[in-house]
Amino acid sequence: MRNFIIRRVLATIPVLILISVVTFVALRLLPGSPGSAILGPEADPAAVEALNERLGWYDPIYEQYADWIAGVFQGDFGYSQRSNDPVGPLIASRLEATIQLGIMSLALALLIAIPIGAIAGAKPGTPFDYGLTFFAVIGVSVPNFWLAMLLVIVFALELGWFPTQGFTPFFDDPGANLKGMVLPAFAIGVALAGNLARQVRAAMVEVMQQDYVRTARAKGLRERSVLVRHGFRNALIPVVTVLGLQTSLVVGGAIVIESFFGLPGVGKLIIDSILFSEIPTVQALAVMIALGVAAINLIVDISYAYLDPRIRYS
Amino acid sequence: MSSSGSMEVLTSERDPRFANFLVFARRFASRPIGVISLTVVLLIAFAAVFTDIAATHDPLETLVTTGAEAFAKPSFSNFFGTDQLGRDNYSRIVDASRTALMVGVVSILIGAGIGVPIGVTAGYSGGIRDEVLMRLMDALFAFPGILLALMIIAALGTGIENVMLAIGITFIPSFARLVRGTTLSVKEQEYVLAARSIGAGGARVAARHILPNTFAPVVVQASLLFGVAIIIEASLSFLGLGTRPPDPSWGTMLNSAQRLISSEPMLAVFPGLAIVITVLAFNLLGDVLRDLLDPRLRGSS
Repeated sequence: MRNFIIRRVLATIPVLILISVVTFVALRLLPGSPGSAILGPEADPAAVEALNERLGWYDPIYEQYADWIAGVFQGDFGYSQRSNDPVGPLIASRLEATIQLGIMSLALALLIAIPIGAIAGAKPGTPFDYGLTFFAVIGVSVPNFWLAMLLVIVFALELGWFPTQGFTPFFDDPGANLKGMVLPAFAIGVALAGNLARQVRAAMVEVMQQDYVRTARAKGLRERSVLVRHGFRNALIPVVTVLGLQTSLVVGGAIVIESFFGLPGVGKLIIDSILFSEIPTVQALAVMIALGVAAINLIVDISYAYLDPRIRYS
Repeated sequence: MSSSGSMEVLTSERDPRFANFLVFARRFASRPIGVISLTVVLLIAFAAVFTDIAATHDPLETLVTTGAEAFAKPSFSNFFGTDQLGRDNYSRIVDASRTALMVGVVSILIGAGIGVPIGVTAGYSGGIRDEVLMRLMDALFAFPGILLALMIIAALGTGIENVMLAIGITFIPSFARLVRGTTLSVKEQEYVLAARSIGAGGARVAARHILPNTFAPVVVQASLLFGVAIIIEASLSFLGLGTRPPDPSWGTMLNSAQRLISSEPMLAVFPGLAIVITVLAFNLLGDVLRDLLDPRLRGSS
């Protein structure tokens, strides 16, 4: 197990380096320069030039990359060009809303997907099974922002159960906080649930065909016990692997949904930063998100190897 | 493949590929979901190509030019009603289907055009080339699709061409990984060994013996990613960072519907339905194709 973890961590390092290079190069192509972004479009070209010079904009690109990556390792992500605030704390202040949104939508998705996926997989070919498959395909075909609009129309505007917009920090007022997060979490969670339910179903179908399930039945266990103890528990193992992919979907969903609901999270910060050409912020966010996704995938792989010993030796 | 009738045996003597296709077409025809989703896809393609026939109004004609009513309710003359400028919603949705399909086709051509060669090269050469290429793909894959597309849009600017390019680039790692896997399994087959033993070079083996085998999984993947492309385009346009007017887009329509959501909620309904129906058709089609083309699944359902 220890060798597996070491091997897997070492394999992640080149990916992390590539992620930082890809981000850096992609965003260096941005039109304009930091000088003109700070001083505005009507600034004196000579002043813009001088500021660019001072910021190191004309240095060779590998030197700029080295400077930037050295700063990142010291927790220095550069400064926002509009407000001159450091980018690190700016992002940190936005994490609360996004993490809460991510946890709630993932929890919601698992809550929907596990029971119906398991029931459908235990009895494949039944109307319930076809119903699930249909729900799952619809779930991944509905754009999350359109689902959000429908939810707002029905549950916020018509029924008035939830607010249409805004965020209350959890520790200020837990009730108001949860009320405001229900619709955003649903908008992201439904698509995830569709995906996950299909995985749970497939895993359950596979497990129920195994010899040990037949043995369990043959020795006279009650069907309920066969389904839960031999079927369901083993079916959950492969589902762990797709959680990594779900993280990526949650973050992608947060970018659109936070903007729609006006939640002050990381996703909304990305959109705002792109709209205002805030290169240091976009760069820091992109690297942090890709690192986060890579880290979660690493944890997922390791826990999968822990749950299924066959993986460790391949 | 199986040969079930004498007709088939006769045709297969003439051209085995055509016979294979007939067998495939017959199996496809026995899947109602496949037939329905293919019909929907063809209808949308018809609307996209022959917009003048499918649309009932000029999609850009406003109340200023026609004296039409703003926010008209759905009726026989305006199937889905009119928007804030008196434009016919149905005709605008038909007009925007062209954008959706074009984004899907071009982004998949870009993704497969770059991803498939990378996958074949990585899988066939192995060693350091495989390692470098696949780590690069891992790095691209670590970004959620929409984030990578947004970064590329930020660098290149908005507009339909850049949207297609951005979405295409996000698809490269999916195709590369898929094709690498197929290549690895095909590489060990005896006919590849046979081709190499009579002196066929690496490029020839890759092109003649490996590439054709990746065709079926690539088609399935393309069908499923088509829906993803449409959703990403709509999301980018919804955020105001995708297709720009005058290029029509379902996402842009939803963006303007969002601002009127409390007074005119109906405006949000139809463009969204257009997205869902189109994406659903491609997803169902992809599922059926996967069932029919993936030998591992054959006979299991």
